[in-house]
Amino acid sequence: MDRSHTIKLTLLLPLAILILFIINISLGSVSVPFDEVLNVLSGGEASKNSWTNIILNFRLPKATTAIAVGASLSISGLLMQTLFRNPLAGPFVLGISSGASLGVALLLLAGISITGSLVASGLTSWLVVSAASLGSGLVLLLVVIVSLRVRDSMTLLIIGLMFGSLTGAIVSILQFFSSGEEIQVYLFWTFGSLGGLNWDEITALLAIAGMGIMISFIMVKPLNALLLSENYARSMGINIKASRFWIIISTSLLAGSITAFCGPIAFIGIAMPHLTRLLFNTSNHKILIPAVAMSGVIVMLVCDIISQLPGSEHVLPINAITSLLGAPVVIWVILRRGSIKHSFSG
Amino acid sequence: MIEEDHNDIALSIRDLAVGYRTGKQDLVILKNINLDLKHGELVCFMGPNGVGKSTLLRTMAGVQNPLSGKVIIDHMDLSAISTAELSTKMSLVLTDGINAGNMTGRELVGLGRYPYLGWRVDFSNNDLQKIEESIALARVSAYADKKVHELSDGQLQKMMIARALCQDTPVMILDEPTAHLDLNNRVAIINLLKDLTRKTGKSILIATHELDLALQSADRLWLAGHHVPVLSGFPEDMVLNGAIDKVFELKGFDLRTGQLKKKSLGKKVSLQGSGYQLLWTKNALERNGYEISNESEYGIVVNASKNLSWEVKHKGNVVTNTLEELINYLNTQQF
Repeated sequence: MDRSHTIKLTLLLPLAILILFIINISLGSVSVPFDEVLNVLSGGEASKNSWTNIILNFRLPKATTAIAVGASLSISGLLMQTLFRNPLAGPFVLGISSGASLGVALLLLAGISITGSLVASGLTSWLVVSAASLGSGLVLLLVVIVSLRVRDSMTLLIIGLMFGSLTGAIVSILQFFSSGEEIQVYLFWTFGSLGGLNWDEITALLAIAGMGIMISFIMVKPLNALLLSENYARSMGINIKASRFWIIISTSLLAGSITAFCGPIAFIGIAMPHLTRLLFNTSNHKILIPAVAMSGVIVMLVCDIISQLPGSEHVLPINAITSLLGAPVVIWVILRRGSIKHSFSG
Repeated sequence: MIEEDHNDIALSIRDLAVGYRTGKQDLVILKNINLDLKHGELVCFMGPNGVGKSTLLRTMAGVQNPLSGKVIIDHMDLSAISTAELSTKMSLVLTDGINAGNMTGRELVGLGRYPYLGWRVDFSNNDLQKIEESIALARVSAYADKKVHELSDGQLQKMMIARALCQDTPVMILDEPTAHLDLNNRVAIINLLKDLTRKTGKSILIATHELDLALQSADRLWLAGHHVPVLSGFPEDMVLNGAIDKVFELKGFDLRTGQLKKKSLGKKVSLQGSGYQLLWTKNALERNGYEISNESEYGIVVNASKNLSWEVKHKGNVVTNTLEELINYLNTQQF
């Protein structure tokens, strides 16, 4: 591994994450003195009970969620771009998030009478997670089946878009027959949110996303080989079908679980792989996977800081912030650092 | 590396039929194929477009199942060995587009070690040594640290050959490795491959349309034609016994003389001279429809002294300094 890569991966990015993590927790609608924040983070108690409570049960879970979201969506976007050999690929383009939306819509809009009774028992969020995972898994499965039949990735992208439209249409019909209250619950889910998860839910999210990340690390070899072509990868001893299956399982776990717990969060999945490839100037997934994960974490922590509008009581939808802030940054980097085309051609 | 042993057979094909299985019907494209690929041999596999070369190559590479018969590599039936095992016996250079622009040449060559690596993709010292050896053997060290997107087509193709070399397999198969390359690069690639068979003892099979290069470098030709079994033989034998003319249904090209058939316009000239000057003068005259004959009123003498000139002896003598002038002069004459 290149020395500059090692320094970035083991020193610069983790340091940036640590600093942003602390800033993220220090800021919010209630101002807590910085030394009190550090005190709580190092296991002590703040001088006010409410401050300890805010930090441990509100800000810390939200920052942790931001970390999980940044890493998971970035990795899944990278996996999809490599698997489908297409720079426009990402969880959203292929309809994975649309699938999750459909699952959640079916649960919240069509099945609210069943779930209504479960809200009290605290099972709703688990059902939302299951519905979203099933939805995204199903769409990905369809995408894979189609990908086995067609060789042209452009065709696949169009089919992914069609899945998106299809699920969008079904969601519209469900909304048409739903009450305003139900629609509002669903709408808030689609805005995306990093907050509102309790520690049990975060533990589950981290466990599922962690599995996805672990699988992605095991897939470094087939991912690198796939940069040449499927035929080349096969000739280098890669089992294409198994690799494709595990790459999709990993993406499904990552994108599916994040979408389930936090809603469909846009932009990160497509943009971070490009940004990372340009900054690290490499195609090697052994570097790219940790790099893209850490870069994603940094961007999500920054976006979260901005979305909570430090000093005000309002919190903007995270979905709006990621695109609003991220898109200009990516455009700037691409214009400055040269073409992204190099990663997608010989 | 494999011990050089020309009697040993690296890959053999027995009673093979290739094609596609659609429902109940088999679409047979080539059948009754019996071929041997010896260690250290450079074989050019040729045939007109659409004859099934790619189908046979795909079957040999295990991408596609044979309709009947078998491919035996290293004494094992191809259908009985795993993808992982096959990757240590056969390497490929394909025409597929690659997405590796951000890799360096050296990283690309390193991919060749993948059959021998675990999931962590850690190169051992032996792997690193093999990478350097392959880079040196394929003569790509000058640009091994460049990014792949910075390489020219010829450089990239040599890098892909280095990658295949790095895979350290007894058999290497290349699909049209010289397509889209200029003459220099085509010659360089063929020479490189020929050299590799001699230095490493590998068997190299090239599917190609470059008849001239194949005739001059291949140890053996495999010829696939419509409605004939795939033929195998010495290039020169296949020229002399007409196999090539038959397979390619050559029109207007006389392979035995290595010339395009020239249309004579009935205009005869006689020619005197020697060496390559004579050869090219003959070429220019014949290309322009003049027949070389001793019974002609027009006598041309090639003066290959310090200043090359041509003298036309007819009613008077005319001297020209270029062949273009000579032909232009002859064209104005009444024959």
